[in-house]
Amino acid sequence: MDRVLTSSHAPFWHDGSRVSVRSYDVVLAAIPAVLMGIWRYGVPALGVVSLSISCAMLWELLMNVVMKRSVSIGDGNALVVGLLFGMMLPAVVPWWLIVVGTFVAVVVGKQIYGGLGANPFHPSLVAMAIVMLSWKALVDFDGALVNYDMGFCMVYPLGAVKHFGAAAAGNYSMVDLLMGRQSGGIGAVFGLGLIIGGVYLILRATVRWQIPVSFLVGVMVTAHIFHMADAERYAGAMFHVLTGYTLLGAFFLAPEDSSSPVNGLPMVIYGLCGGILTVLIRNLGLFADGVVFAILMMNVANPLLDKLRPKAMGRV
Amino acid sequence: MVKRRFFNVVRRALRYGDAGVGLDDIEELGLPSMVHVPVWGGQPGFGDLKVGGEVATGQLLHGSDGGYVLSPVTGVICSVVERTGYLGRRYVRVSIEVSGEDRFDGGLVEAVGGSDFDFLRRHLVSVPGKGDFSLLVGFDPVVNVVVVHGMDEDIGVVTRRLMVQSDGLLEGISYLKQVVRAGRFVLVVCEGISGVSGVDRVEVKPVYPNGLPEVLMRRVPGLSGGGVGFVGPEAVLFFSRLSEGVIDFGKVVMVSGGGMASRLVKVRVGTAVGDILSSLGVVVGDGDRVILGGPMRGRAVSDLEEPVMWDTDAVLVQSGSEVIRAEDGQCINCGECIRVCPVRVPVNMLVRVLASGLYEEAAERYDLDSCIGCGLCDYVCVVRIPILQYIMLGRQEVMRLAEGTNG
Ligand code: SF4
Ligand code: SF4
Repeated sequence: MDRVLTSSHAPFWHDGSRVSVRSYDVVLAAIPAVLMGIWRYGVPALGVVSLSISCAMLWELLMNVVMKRSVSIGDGNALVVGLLFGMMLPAVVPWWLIVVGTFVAVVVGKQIYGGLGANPFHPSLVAMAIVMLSWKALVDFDGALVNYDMGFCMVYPLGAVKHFGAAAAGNYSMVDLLMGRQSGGIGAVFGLGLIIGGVYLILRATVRWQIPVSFLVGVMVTAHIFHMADAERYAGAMFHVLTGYTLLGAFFLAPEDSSSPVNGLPMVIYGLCGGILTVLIRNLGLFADGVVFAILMMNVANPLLDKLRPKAMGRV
Repeated sequence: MVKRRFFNVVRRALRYGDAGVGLDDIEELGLPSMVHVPVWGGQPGFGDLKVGGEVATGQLLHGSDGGYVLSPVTGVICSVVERTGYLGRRYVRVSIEVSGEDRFDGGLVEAVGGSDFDFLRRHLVSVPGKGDFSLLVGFDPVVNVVVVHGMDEDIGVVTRRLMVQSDGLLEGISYLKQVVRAGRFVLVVCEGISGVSGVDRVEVKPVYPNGLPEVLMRRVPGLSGGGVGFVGPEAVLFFSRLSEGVIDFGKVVMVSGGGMASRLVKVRVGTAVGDILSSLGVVVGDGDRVILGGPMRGRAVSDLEEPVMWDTDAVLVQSGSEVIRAEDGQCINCGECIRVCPVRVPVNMLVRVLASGLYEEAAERYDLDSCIGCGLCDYVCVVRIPILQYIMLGRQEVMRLAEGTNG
């Protein structure tokens, strides 16, 4: 009778899901977009993405050791954070920018709050925001990609419409934008790839569909209203969807678990407002693209939004 | 174990499922050499709880302060020990060495013969299918509706769904009506269960957690007002046998897992789970898990002497390799739990405050009390946080705090 039985609390079944599977899912979904970026921009792009991933993972490991926590590389989140940061960068950036950026993402954006689940912002977006504010010129696509000539219009589309009005949008065909024939972040230019990845994540329920759908609706409706008001100055809805970080933001950045709501109505408000803010910043603000700051602003609102939840049953 | 689907945007409902066994497959196991019964609120050496005392089948075993049970066998009390149960509740475990064929308690038989329902009411505590009759016969508060609960509570368990189709159910109900003076009897069964007519009957979809009393109370019309008591079909059948003068403490239990096809056995209440498993030839090894009840709501035993109780419908064996252990990560706010919770508890927030020991905040702001204990949040949690355990401990702490301030 010295058998040692396993004793624990109910339930005794588990559906087998785990955090690492979710992370690898995101990576898998991002692969088409990343591969297209590397194919278009070549070895420098590969270098940027690889360095970003490895730095993010090293920072994570370092913080685990320094903060005396269990090693969390295995959950794959550092990999995702590094990958998404790399996907937002132009193919040509100084190496130290990546080292600093991933430090901001992993350490400032996540670990000091207590690790995954406690981060109020998307870590990759925190890093991108800091980089955009501190070294604007280095992540300016027209400047960074000046030496590329790939047979299509190499002017950053959002920059073009910002300076030359909606007419500039005519230089880009929708098919080109969908197929990655545009200038932009390594992993942000291949619209079709991002859509396929995003739909995959939604079907897998790794991403809560309400967020990307309402984000895109927000972008389209707002862009359309601007376009209706002044078709000379403001580009149309589809142009805004297929350029800049819109699709990357909708499917990969806005729905980050910890920094986005989980209840129905809050998810929809979060997505809609994110989309609206994106276009407002693009059309009225200082930056060519508004995705990074729009989502960060919604991250701030997230805890408040998620209070709008249905009352539990049986509660008076 | 039902795993997550690859494409899970539309989540699969957890159906109660079939076990490939029917009423004809019930195997009657012989009398065990010993049974164990718990007496809540008893003390060793008080009342009838003395080593050496002789007991008859159906005899009352009094504890000291109000706790008592009916002895399921005829025999001699061979040990009385205090033990600690679920969430630290103390009870006395009375072990009775079975001396042979049943000798029925005289008073009980006489009362049944003479239709002395008052005696029965005073005498009734626990019968197969209903572990605690005190609220139903105590009349305080008055029970208006008795629900004969012919649905299983846990996934994969079929015991009640089968037993509700046995002969004698209607006779049992009319007998029970005289014992329990409730205004209304309702029979709850799964959709598509045949037979059983002549009684107010409600059909429910066989999808977990519809079989939980807490869910039925909300879903079935007329049950939400309170004053509702639940009894299993076996309790009804007990009364049908009783009206024929037979005191039947047999309990049907479904045994599954451990690499064998599910089986149905009828055993005496109080039989040790180890005895059942060895008579079925199931070998339990180190690291395996033996569960009284089903996969979502059962209780893992640490010792194979643990008995089958009046309301134990199933025994589930999990081999060590099947066991998915809880982990100590923190919530990543994925929202899976929110999607499955049938009563809309904000589990993601609740689990955070419970993990920090903020029990009162959990109760006041995050609906700790609304939880019906279905375990679905725990089952889907990607971090594998033992959420249900947190919730149950939290509730106990809240109760303790409330007692502390009141007394
Ligand atoms: S156990 Fe979890 S899912 Fe079930 S009612 Fe309670 S909080 Fe909701
Ligand atoms: S399923 Fe687990 S990790 Fe996900 S939100 Fe719920 S408690 Fe948090």
